[in-house]
Amino acid sequence: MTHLPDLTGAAISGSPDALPPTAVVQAALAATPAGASPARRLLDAAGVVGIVRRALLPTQPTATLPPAPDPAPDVVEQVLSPDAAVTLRSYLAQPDLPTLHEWLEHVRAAGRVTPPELVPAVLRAAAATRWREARHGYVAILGTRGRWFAAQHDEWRHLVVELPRADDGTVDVDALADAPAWRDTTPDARTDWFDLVRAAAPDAARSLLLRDGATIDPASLTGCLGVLGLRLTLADEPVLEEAAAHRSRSVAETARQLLERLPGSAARARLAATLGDAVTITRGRLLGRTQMTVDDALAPDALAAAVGANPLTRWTDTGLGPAELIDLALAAGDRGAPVLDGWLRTTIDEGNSTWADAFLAAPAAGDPMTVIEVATRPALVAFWTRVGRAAFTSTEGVWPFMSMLGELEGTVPVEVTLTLLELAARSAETIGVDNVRGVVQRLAVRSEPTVRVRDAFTAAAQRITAPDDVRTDLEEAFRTASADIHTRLTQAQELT
Amino acid sequence: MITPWTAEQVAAVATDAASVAAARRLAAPQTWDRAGVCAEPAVVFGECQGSGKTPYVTVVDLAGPAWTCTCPSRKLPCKHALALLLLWSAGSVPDAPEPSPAAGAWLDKRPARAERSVQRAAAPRRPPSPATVARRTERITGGVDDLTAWLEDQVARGVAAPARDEIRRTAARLVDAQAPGLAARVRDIHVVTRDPAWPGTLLESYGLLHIVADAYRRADTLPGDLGAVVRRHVGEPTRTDDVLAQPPLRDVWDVLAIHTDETRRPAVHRTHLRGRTCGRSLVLVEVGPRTAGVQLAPGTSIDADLHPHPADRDRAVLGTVHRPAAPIDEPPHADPAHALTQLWTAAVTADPWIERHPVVLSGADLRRDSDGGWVVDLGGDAVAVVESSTTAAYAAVAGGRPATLVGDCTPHGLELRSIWDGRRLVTP
Repeated sequence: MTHLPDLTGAAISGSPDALPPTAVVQAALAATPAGASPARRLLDAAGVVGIVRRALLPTQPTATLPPAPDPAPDVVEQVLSPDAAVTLRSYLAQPDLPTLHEWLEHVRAAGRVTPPELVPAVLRAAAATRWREARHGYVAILGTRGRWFAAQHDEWRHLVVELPRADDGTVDVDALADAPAWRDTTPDARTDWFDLVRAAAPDAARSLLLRDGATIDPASLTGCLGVLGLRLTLADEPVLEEAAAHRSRSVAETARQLLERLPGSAARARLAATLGDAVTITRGRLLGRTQMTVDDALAPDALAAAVGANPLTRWTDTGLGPAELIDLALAAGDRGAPVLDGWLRTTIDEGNSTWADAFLAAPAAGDPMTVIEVATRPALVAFWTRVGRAAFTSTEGVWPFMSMLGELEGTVPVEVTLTLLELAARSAETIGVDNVRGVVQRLAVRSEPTVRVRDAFTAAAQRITAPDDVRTDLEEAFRTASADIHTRLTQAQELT
Repeated sequence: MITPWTAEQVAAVATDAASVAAARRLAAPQTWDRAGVCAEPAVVFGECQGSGKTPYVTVVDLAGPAWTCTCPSRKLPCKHALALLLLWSAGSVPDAPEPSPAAGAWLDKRPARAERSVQRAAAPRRPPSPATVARRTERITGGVDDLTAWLEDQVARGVAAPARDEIRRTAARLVDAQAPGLAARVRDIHVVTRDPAWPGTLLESYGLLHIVADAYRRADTLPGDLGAVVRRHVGEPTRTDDVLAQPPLRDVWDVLAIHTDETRRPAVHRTHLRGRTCGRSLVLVEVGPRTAGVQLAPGTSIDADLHPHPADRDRAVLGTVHRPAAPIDEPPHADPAHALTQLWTAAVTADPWIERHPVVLSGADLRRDSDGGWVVDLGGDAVAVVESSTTAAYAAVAGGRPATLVGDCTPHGLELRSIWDGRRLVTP
């Protein structure tokens, strides 16, 4: 470090007499003309000190620096092409979340990684997003250099997982538990890191929670249980049972809820037993009607939970199919509503596509978006076509539809997009220009990106039925959507 | 047929990443009508349907490059021009035997405009008459005297943080006195009152101003180029003709960095060139729209004449280009990192008021200091890296190994601009 005189005292007093008697100052004062004013003398000296200070770069001894990390291993993966790197920069500058995830998936599938110069920006984005899929997507394309770099920085360390292996090849959980990203970090960062461990080594993640669940903070443990809840298996039951006895009420409650959602768990079986005969189905004989009877022994919430804990086969073993059972619950009115709620939950927990299809076909049976991921393609086509047609009949009808498109995590099938585009091109007067534009924009990111879909957007732009003063505006919306589909189609090609 | 630009080249001419992101949404064949690319004249053109009834007509003159678009955007190039270039880059613009009528009309005007500029440039410019020079010197001297008096007033009873209004008024008087350099220095005075040493720092700023003002009165008697340096800092203009009259330095110049200072209005672009043979760094300074364009893209080299500025040893003007740009395929000439302090001291010795000095350092090791900042290990000592949003990117590229860094040395440390990663120049 360079040491030059501090001029603060002289500056405050305004007197050259207060200047430190250093060689630089003395030399400056010696060159000042005789008879110069004190202010002039002070400025002369300050100017010379200023120039000398500028000439001597501020430095610090290398010996005082923290130890340098080991150099990064060589980059063995193929990095993104220059064109794809430009795309990545665009996403980092202005993330378009639905297409970002799709693009990151393309990159991961192509085995390409982030160029080193974009590693910090990708890490920043991964640490900042609360959107799990985006975080996993970013982490997947970090590559060797990205993982090395993240490991050097406290704020990004939780974005990389190195699994220490024991001699027998299994993950050394004690060593894993010693990772700074687990031991010494914030609850959010710990949860994010645990999420990555869970994705890479589910058994090790469970062992980690069994080992440290009692000692880590409740916020972290709740977060980690939430991670387990994203994809529960029976192997998670011991972890959840232990957490259900945790001293923290929120931890215990989260664990209990998850156990009750875990098909095959003892807790779920206990909950299922509480249903008793609260719901009975009587098969009609001859002229008698098949009907559902729901008694009021259980409150609606408890009833929904108890129904949800029972396997769906309990109901189909009556010989009725899901559609018939849903009709019976609908016919039971308010008392059937908790039963439908319970069945929706079980449909998701069991991943039962037959039931999911039946729910999608029954408009009043509950929130269809909850089972959409489980449904079969024909059922999805029928569902989207039905709700789409209904949407274009009025302004009131289109809003729920746009909301569904907004929250959809999958894609709208091609054939549905084609139908919806034809309807959208003719609906400006029915639902308004802004709503048509809204539907088109959402379809651009939710439709399956195919050449047929892209061309359908362009073709629909030619068939718009709308007053002259808004047609151009709508044409632009369709063309822009077509361009968006084109971008989604081509962005996989530029990776290499 | 002409080789399309890469998406990287397109991104390099954009004003910001958001423009590229917006352009990508328009870079699809469906968005464009009557698009085409013509080899002679080298032009890309097309019509993009915007929200108005009439499509936007976009033309890019690749030889310039230069762009025009009928859209209302004030960005140059606008997103439509960038989208058209990206479309061309993706191979989706068909070849055309000749420009569209709209493109042709615009191109027809351009040679006329260019010719007028050439004529203006070629027209013999008379140097200012001795009387004009004398009048200017008199006005500047008056401004310098006023500044000296003001500085003495500021320090006579102990320094206090000056009011912004007073700073503005003092700077305005210096502008009136034809001393814009001094005016800019006065405007740059600012006090960080949370720093307990601010009175001393402010006094030093005043002292530096005082020294340059004092030196101006003796500029004719100062040794070497120092008189010219002082006049430049005061704000006396240097005519381009005078720079072009300097003997040219012909070399293969590697284009190592472009830095745009957006805090200045208009923006100032600094293009850092390094001679392969002469091993000297020179900077081309452009104020306002950048005209060198892709002709001087970082990562390329150019065989050309540079005319050094007579009053700024780091600056030059581009003269004759003997061979157009080609990608850099070998590491640029560099000084060893441990020489940085000497290089900077020499630069300050030649120009005591210098703000930045272009450097290329080989074997530079980027490290963290104990406060989490970045430093460059010079071997025994380390100099601070002036933190920016891209500093970490240099460390990621270096990967913990010594690298060749391109940057500007400043009184506060090193501002990084690009890095040679062993195979290519990277500008994060």
